[in-house]
Amino acid sequence: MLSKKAEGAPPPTLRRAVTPWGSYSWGYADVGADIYAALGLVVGAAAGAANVAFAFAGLVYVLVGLAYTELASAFPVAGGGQFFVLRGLGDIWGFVAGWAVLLDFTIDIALFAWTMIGYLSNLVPFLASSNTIPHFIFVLLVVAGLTALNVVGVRESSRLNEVVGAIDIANELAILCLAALFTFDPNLLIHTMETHWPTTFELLNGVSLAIISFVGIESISQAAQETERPASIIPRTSISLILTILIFALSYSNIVLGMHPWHPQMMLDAHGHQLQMFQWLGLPANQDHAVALLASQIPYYGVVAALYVPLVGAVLMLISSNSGVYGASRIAYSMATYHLLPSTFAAVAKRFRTPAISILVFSGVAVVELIFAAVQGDQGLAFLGDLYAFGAATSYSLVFIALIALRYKDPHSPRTYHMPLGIPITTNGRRWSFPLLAVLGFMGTFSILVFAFMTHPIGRIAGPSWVLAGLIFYVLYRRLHGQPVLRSRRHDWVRDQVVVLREAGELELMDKYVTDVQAAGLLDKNVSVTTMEREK
Amino acid sequence: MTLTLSIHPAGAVLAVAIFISTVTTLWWMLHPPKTKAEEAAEVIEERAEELVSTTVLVMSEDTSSEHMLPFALKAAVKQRASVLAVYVIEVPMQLPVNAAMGDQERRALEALAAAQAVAKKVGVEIRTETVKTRNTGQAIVAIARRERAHLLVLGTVRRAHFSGNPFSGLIEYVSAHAPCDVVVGVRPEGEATKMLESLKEGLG
Repeated sequence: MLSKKAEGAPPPTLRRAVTPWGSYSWGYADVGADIYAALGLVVGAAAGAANVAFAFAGLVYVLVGLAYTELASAFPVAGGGQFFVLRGLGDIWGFVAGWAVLLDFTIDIALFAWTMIGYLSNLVPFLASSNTIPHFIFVLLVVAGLTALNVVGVRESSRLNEVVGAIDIANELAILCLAALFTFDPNLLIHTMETHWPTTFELLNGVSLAIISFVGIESISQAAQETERPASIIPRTSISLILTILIFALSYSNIVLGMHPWHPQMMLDAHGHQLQMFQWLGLPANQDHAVALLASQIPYYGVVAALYVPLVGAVLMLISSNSGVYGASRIAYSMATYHLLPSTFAAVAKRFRTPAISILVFSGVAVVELIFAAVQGDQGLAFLGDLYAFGAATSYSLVFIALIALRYKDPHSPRTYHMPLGIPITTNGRRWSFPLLAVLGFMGTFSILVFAFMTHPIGRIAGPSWVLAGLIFYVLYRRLHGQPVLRSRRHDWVRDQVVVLREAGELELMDKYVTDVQAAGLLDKNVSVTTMEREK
Repeated sequence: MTLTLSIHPAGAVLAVAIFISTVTTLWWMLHPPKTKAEEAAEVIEERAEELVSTTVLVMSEDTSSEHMLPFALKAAVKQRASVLAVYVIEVPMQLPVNAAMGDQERRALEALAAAQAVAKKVGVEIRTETVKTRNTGQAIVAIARRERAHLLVLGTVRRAHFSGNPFSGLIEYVSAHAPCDVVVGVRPEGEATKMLESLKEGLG
């Protein structure tokens, strides 16, 4: 049974069940799986500069992560980037950011359900994507199962993420440490970089693909409204996620370029020529299971790894797909709460206290995307990957602008974490801290958006088409409900913020915020927190 | 062709660096600073543990504390306290203080063995002691001081047709002089007896 607003009783809200490890796992579930899909693609495109491509994308990702850390700890509500842009830039831009992130999360569902079955096909060849119909049916079953799990409730699906995330971190640590210990040669790394440096176009292509390895920090923000003590926990989980993923991505890319394989005789091209490790992993036939192949080339350990790494990869893909279901529903929940989408998407199921309608609808969108991908045959995965990069770069660019705007417009919201390198400036008599790194971050994400347009022909058509379709839907919805289309609705952000901090259990931050906004004349001194909660 | 196993120093350093940096990052994440509310809760929890760090269950000819055994054990489990079950035998003045008290000593053994058996079943460490004394009240207070007990548990019964105060002089004395909190459980006589019998049967 679903409820929008029960009469006489407060409507059901999302429950705070996500622990620090759960919060981290939500992010890891999304980002951690990316390297399994991206490693082969990036080494295939950027060759001897794969580590540089990962480093550039990783640098942008660090800036994105820091921006999300500041914003998610200051505004711990479901919605993430969409909510930050809404607060900073207004309703219509909030919609565009949210719609772009929705694209990413629905792609996440489809892409990782697809690659999960692809990884499993290493052990069960019947599931290979060349067997189109069985492959498609199994992908659909995965999406349906995850949808049901998320309808049942966050604690159940969060537990899945936590367990699998822990197993995968242990697995990747084993692969990286043993590969570094037994196969890595720095002289070979330097030699490979010198002799296989790519062209500029190839490098740009590599960078735009490498960003795929870092998409997903958004998930932590998505779960903010369900995280215990979000203002304190989220900065830690975000920074930890940034660091772990960066460590893994840079380690993989450097090890691949400087690795002496255990069985080099396996690495031959179609003409029987000997290949280096990175060349072998970059072959189209090997790109979708590069991590498993790398692990199989570690002395002794590789014998076991060849059997279980595809399985672990498949399970991680599963939870990445799961985080897509979760993230899409939370974004839609947030957008509906702020009248960017119909209120049906804000309905929380009474029994499970989850946004069940949002979960079902956007899982349905993922199925539609799957169908589009399936009809494209060999190019199906490329289609999903292009859209993934487009959605991420669009929303991240808007988030950086929103961060700058919020630093100016809303200096009182408690920021337990600030992006470093703030420059104190005075504008219209108001002194505020200008986030220099946000400008660099915007330049980075925007350049990746440009790279994606330059190098991905499908992405430059399908991505803008998605945004355009969304805008038409938005205009129709707002007009039908008598809401302003280009302007924003009136929001009482101050009272909302007080209630959010109260509900998050961040009482000390709430006290400080109330004192600051009252001193600034933004809140009546006679209004109590209880009254604000009741009014909200 | 299979290569021989070799380790490059840079590879070893890289492996150690990957491991340490990842584990350190995760450890830092999982140890966030506590809020004031959490710190206060910890202090209260520690204080609560102190309050009942040793629970003394007192049994004697003049008390009927067996029915308080489950309470004492439950409190001990929750607070991770140790339990001392004491059976006090009051020796008449006409006998030496260490005189043999056959029947009473037998009852003491049965009661303490029953207490041990029950404690074992619920997984609580329990010590037992039989004390002979001239004055039961003084002996109980002395034991509480010696053990630095934070909780004394005694029981008594409402006798049939009894219309006045069920507390004996012993309980009043202990309540007045004990150096710690005293919990006294009062039950109808029949129920207390049934519980004691069932304890003995269970033991048998």
